[in-house]
Order: sequence, then structure tokens, then C-alpha cells
Amino acid sequence: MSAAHDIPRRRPLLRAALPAAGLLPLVLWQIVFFVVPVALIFGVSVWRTQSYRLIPAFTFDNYIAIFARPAIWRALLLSVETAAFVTVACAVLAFPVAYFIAKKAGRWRGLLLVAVIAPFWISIVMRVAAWRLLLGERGVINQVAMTLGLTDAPMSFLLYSPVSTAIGLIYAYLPLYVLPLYAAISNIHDNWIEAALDLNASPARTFFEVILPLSAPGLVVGAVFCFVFGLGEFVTPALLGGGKQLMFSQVIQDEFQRRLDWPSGAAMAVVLLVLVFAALALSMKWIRRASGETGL
Amino acid sequence: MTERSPNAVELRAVSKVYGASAAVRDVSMEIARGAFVTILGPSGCGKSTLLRMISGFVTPSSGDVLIDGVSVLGAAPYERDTAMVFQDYALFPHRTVAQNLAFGLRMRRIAKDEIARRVEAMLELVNLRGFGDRRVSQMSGGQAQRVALGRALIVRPAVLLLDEPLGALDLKLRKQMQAELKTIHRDLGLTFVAVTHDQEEALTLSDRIAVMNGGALEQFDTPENLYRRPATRFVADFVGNANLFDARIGGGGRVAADSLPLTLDLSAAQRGGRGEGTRVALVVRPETIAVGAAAPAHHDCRVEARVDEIMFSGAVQQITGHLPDGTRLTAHQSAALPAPERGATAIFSWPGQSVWLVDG
Ligand SMILES: Nc1ncnc2c1ncn2[C@@H]1O[C@H](COP(=O)(O)OP(=O)(O)OP(=O)(O)O)[C@@H](O)[C@H]1O
Ligand SMILES: [Mg+2]
Repeated sequence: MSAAHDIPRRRPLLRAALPAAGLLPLVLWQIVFFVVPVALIFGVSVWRTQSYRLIPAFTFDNYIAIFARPAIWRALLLSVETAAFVTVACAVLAFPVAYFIAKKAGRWRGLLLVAVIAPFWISIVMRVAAWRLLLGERGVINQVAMTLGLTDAPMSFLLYSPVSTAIGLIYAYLPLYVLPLYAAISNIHDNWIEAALDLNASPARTFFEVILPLSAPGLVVGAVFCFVFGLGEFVTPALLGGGKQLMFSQVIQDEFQRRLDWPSGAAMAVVLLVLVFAALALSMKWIRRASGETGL
Repeated sequence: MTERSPNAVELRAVSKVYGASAAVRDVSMEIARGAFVTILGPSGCGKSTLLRMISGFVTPSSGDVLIDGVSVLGAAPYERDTAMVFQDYALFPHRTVAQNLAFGLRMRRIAKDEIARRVEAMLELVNLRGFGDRRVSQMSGGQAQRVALGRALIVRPAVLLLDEPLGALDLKLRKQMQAELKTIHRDLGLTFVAVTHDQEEALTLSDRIAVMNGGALEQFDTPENLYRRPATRFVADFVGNANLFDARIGGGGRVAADSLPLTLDLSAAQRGGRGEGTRVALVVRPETIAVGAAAPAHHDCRVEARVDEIMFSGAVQQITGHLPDGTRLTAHQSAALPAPERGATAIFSWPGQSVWLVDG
């Protein structure tokens, strides 16, 4: 890049290659911190262990073992369920927020966007502490519910359960959904909405005929963020999940750290990775279709 | 339904106030069914606001809006039988051309096979046969314009509203679309209300023109009347070109111009019942003025002016000059006639009976 100024004009190939050189740091970064570790993980996943010792091999026994252990199945299912639930909940909550900011907020738009992103700046540990104060057996919600006579005993499923994990994840991922949705909704011209109303579409039909389909790119991108992050999420379930029902990432951690069965953990990690890539590939197709339709 | 109003649209003293300023003030207008009306005026005079009060996107601060004789003040845009052609077309980008055309019919819950039939017919009407499956992003400006027009026409609204429909087209396409609009209007017999700030477009297209200025309706009349009998100085100046000379009505119907060595004897009709001492402006259309010594005998108004500029534009030459006191004067005459010399003094003459008066 440093030699950009003295590239002779008669070498179009080099000139074409130069902008690509800007990608070099990214490519190196990806190789060092993604490709190599993934290759290592994959390599380890086909090894064996014997008395807590790693033995190089080439076997798919670890993969077969995953499908034979119900506990792992349950964890994987819980992860997928939680990620899916969190994704849908975030979409439903994010839509009105993004719509309001994009279309109605006027000069408050900037401030509201900052407010949406603000939770990112608070460390996960502090957030979890706050959730404990709210959701715990003697937390605010239970105190209020009992004072009002809504329940006799404190609701114990609120904290250290898949419920609190889901709540924590929804809260954490909401900004990830609001931002792409906001971008998509900003691209919807007010005139398109007016044209629909003018042609006798009720507000509800205008929403389903015009606003929702034109928000599709944002909906898909947000869903990918939420689902993919939710699937692999470790910290929030570890801090809020209570440890009785484990999520897949916790089982992986367990294999590596407690059972010291690296090949087994690595095989699970590869399965998770395949799931994530499947979700990404699917969404790329949707995005391409959605954006092809909007011509954006 | 017993007694159908002859008016597709009626505005009764409508105003729209934004904060401290009025975008539209006290406009009353009756638009006959089947008419082609244009709202003409400079930028910011309230044309779009007026149109949007008919479509329902702007609620009047006061006054009443009637469509087919019924007040629609309580009706939302999607409950009104109007359809709008937007300046930027506002075609749905996620729908094909045919789906755009079908949209209004689907919302009105028309049967599927009838929709298909009417979409085909509309593609035919707007000269887009075979384009039904195209994406709207693949359409040229002129084609997109036709889709927008078709999408609004297809529901056969009580009023078709057009907000600067041809504003985004180049001149040649504009002329062509003007002709097509006029043909379509004649063939379908719908009521068209169009907004434009192009006076030539208004004059070619419409049966009647509403000239607006600063939110107020200056005159609502036929193109010919606007041109021959402008009601105000603004209309005289805005519609067609005009030479305006300040003047005062004297005794016995004589009118003396302030800056011209000129007095005119005007008929009572030309004076419009104005009394002695009223300040007026003389409206002299450029094409009534002849330049040169060979002034026709009936040109009883004559002034001497210095010729500043001569511009040929095809069949017409535009000659501008100024009087000794600096008042400027524009004449249009046939390019076949001899042109005066630039810088020379020439006689500018016109018939007194072609002069029109507006309030000064
Ligand atoms: N929503 C609004 N809030 C405040 N002022 C407005 C609003 N809409 C229009 N105005 C003002 O009302 C006046 C008339 O606006 P309008 O859009 O009707 O003008 P127009 O004749 O259509 O102009 P143009 O030819 O530029 O489109 C303008 O001064 C405009 O600034
Ligand atoms: Mg306008």
C-alpha cells in the first residue's frame, strides 16, 4: 500500500490487485485466529483419548458418540430452542423500536440509537448482577408479586434456569436486532407507505404488504446475529442458567475442562460450527433474495 | 345516491396552517366530474398541500372537502376514492410491474380473474404490453411514469390526483406524456387534478387552471380566460409573458400610464367597472406588439424604445427594448418580419383593444 503513488499507469493488473491488498490484514487475521484454530479443533476431533492422554488417530468415534449420548442431545436441543426463542422474541421486540426510531423519532433519532446501543458498554458481570437483583428468589419481581398476592411462594424458575438465560440473552441481543432493522426500515420511502394507503390498503395491510417485506433484509440479518450468537453463547448461560440444564456450549466446556476429553469436546465444537455455517448459508440465500427483490 | 353531485371534488374555504404560517388559505373550488384541472403556482405556494387535503394525507385546519358531494373530512386516505400519481412514482420496489398495477384492485378485493384481465388491459393502455413481469427497478423513467399512472388509473378513482407527474422527465418525454395523458383522460372520462409549476404544461393539459400564490387561490378559470382576462397582476405575470405598466384611471375612461408617453381610451368592459383614480396595471402581451416603422394601422398605442436584444427561437423572434425612463418592454413577432437593429430606436406598437387591466 505504501507504494501506491508510484504505480506505473501501464500495469492495469497491478492496479486492479492493489485495492485487494487492503484486505490483507483481514485475511491474515482470519488465518491466524480462525482458520488455524478451527483446523486444530478439527484435527483433535478425530483423535482418541486413553487414560486422559491424547492419542493421534483418525477416527469418527467421537462424532458417533455425540449422537449416542442423550445428555448431549438435550443440551444441543436446548441451545437451538433457546437461540430460536431469543431470535423470535428479539424480532418482535426490536421491530416497533426500530420502526419508531427510523420513522417517527425525528431529531431524537441519534439519541435513541445511542440509548439502544448503551447496554453494550456495560460489562456482562454487572448486567448479570442486575438480573440477579431483579429475578432472584428475594429479587424485586418476586417481592412485588408476593406483596400483590399474585403468588404465595417466590417463583424459583425466574433465576438460574433457561428462563433467566433467555431473558438475559434477549436483553443482550436486542441492539443487534434493532440496528440492522433500523437500517432496513430507514430505506423504506414514506411515499411507498403513502401509496399503499392511497390505494385503499388499511394500515394493517400496508404493514404486511409493504413495510414487512421491505424490512426483510434487516429481519434476516438480525435473526442471523441473534441465532448464531445464541447458539454458541457461553457466558450468559453459565452465569444465569444455574447449571442444572446445560446448554451445548457448556457441555463442550465441560468436556474440555472437567472430563479432559478434548477429542470429544472438539467434535462437539465442530458440530456447532457446522450448524452455525448452515444457518449463515441459509440466511445468505434469504438476504440475496430479499435484496434482489428490493433492488437495494 | 339519489342526487349525484355534478362535482367530483368540492373545496369549501379550506385552510391549512403550519405553526405561524398558512400553507393554504381559504381556498374554495368546484371541480366538475370528468374535468382536467391543474393547480399551477410557484414553488411553495401550497399546491401539494391542497392535493394532499383531497387525498386525505393532510387534514385541513378549517373548511370542508367533498368528494362526489359527500364530506370526507372524517375519512382516512385508505377510505377515500382517490388515487395519486406521485412525482417520484413511489412504485413498490419489491413487486413486479403487473403486481404494482394489481395492488389497488387487490386491496379493493376484486376477483382474481378480473384483476388479471384489468392488469392486461392497463398494460395495453399505458403502452407497456409485455412488461408485466419486469421489476420496477428495470424500468426507464418514462416507463416507470406509465406504471405509476396505470397503478392509479386501474382502480377508476372518483378523482385521479397527479403531483408534478411529469416533473422528473426530460423535455421530449414530457411532451409525449402530456399528449398521452390528455388522450387517456379523454378516453376514460375520469376526473384529473394535476399539480404543476410549469405554466405551459398547465395550459396544454387542462380544461381549467387554478392559479395559486402564497397559499391563496388567485384565479380558477379556463386557460383562455387566464390568458386573456387575468384577474390579478400575479396571474397576468405568471401565465404567459406580460408587459406590465403601472397606470391610473383618469376622467372619462382615459387611462394614463405612469412611465409611458401613453394614454388609452378603454371601454367600460376593459376597465372592469373600476372608477376614476384607481391604480391599475396595463397588461400588454408580447405577441400583440409589433416592432418597426411599418406598424399596422389599428395599432393605436405607439412608443419609441431602444432595442437591447433580439433572440430568435424558431418561428418567433423575441425583441427586448427599454424606454427612455428605463422601463423594459418585450415583444414577440414572426421571425419572417424584418428585425430591427440592436441599439437603434424603434417604434413598438399594439392595438389598444388588446390591453387588459388588472389592479395595480
Ligand atoms: N408538514 C409541514 N410542516 C410545516 N410546513 C409545511 C409542511 N408541509 C408544507 N409546509 C409548508 O407549506 C408551504 C406549502 O407547501 P407545499 O408543499 O404545498 O408547496 P408546493 O406548492 O407543493 O411547492 P413545490 O412546487 O415546491 O412542491 C411551504 O412553505 C412548506 O414549507
Ligand atoms: Mg409540491
